[in-house]
Amino acid sequence: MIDMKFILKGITFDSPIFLASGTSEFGLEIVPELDNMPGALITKAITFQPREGNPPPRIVETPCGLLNSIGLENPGVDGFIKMYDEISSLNIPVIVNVAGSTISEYLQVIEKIEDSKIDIKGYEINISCPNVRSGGMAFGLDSKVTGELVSSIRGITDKLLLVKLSPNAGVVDILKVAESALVSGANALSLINTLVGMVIDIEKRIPILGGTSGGLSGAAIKPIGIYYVYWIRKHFPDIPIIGVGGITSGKDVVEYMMAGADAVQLGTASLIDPKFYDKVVVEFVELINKFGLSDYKDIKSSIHRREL
Amino acid sequence: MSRYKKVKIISNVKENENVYRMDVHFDENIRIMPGQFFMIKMFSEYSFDPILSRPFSVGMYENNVLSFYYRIVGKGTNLMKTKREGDTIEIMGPLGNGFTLDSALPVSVIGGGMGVAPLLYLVKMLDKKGVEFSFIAGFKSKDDIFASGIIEKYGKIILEEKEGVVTEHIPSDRDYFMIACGPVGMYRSLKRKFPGKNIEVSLEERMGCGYGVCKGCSVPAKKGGYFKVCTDGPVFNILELGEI
Repeated sequence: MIDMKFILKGITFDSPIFLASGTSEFGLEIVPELDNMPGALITKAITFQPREGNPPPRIVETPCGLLNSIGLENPGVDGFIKMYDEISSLNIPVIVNVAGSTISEYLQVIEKIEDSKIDIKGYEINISCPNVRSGGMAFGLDSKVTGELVSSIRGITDKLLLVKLSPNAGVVDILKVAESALVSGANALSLINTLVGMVIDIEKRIPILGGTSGGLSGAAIKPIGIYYVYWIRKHFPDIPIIGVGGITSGKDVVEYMMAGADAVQLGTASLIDPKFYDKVVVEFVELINKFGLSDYKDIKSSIHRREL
Repeated sequence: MSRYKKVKIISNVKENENVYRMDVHFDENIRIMPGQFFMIKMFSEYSFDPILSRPFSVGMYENNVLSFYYRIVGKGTNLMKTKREGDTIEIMGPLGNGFTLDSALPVSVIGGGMGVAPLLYLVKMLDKKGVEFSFIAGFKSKDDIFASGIIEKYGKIILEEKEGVVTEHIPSDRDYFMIACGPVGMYRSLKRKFPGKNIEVSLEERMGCGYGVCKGCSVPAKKGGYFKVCTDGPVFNILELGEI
């Protein structure tokens, strides 16, 4: 029996494998079917007002990947609070992914949730969605704005704060954004969000996606996610990192952890098969057993122990 | 560890130059409504290309055998056509709503091209239930025809290059409840021809998950916002749809 517990800011999660934002919606379709309870569910991004999302087509397949331009379709913070009872009946720790176009919009979402007293575990701040015109990724590319945003949020909540970083910042700027988020009160970093991309319809001579560009996810982006986790871990040896991007197997989870992740999130995989989570967990446990370890944490950052 | 079920392929044959029919067998009888669809998994344990499953409408279902008619278009369908009798495939479903089977009026069923596929099981069920109906299936040319045996058992083939588009052949001798499946252009022409009439149409859209989570298959709703083709549809009343 391996110990799967993962502790972050004093909260004990029963598994270090979470469900990522956007690909499990609010868990209602997925969680009841699983044999293994995910460590946490990170909700679809919540904005202050409900959002209808972008014009279709909203998704297009790419080799081993999925380019999406959903545009943060969500019921808005009031709608989310209203449906929370139903989500709460799943008995899964919930982390709310929050998005906005301005700093005050992020704050309004969080204030409403704080006032509602719903028992969520914390927030994941989405500063990296490539599919909204203003805000979104713009925050994630600018370390100064990220700092202002995170410290304003820290000013109104004591809850767990994850900040989800964008690989679109590039390897140089992401270090500044990470540092800024951490000194401003983030408890952990989630990385990576999707990579901005485009597919063109050559007959019509226009981009296929209604939102023009989209965010690339799925197995195709896994090496990039692994690299960013490695890169951030190298510069910040002690901060909690939650790896996400292209995980489809237990082996992928191990790779993320060896690169420096404390925990991981399963995204696009659960969208293509709602029970993918079970497969990944079973494979992960098998591998840890095969390594002869009683604690999965022993593999963490193992590649950093060598000269790289 | 999958919501997908492994099913055995009992045949996978060419219907015409571009269209194939795949028959799969269920060990137990499951309830499937005409108009519903299944997601067919494309990736395998060893490859995630293509990563997404593909939605296919129920072409026919009898004696625990489910048939999918599919046109060879891209990566997924080219992979599908290589499957052989005895191979297994993973499918999830049935998904989505279905066509109305208990209309008070006689039903006029209109199909165009690939859109004929989900209507085959519909007309079989209408016939079984003793509902009065007519069925016309339009194809551009002789080469495009598939499932001619089933169509001719329950209705009529319209060869569009000779007889004009299928929408010109809709019976008008009395009032019908119309159910249509075909290309978007066909729906536009139905809307123009029968303004304000309730017509059930089945939509096709790029899908991510097939079960309501990804919000990828949205189509504009008349009342504003979007419908999800996978869980709000794929069958809609044409009057409830926004611009199509």
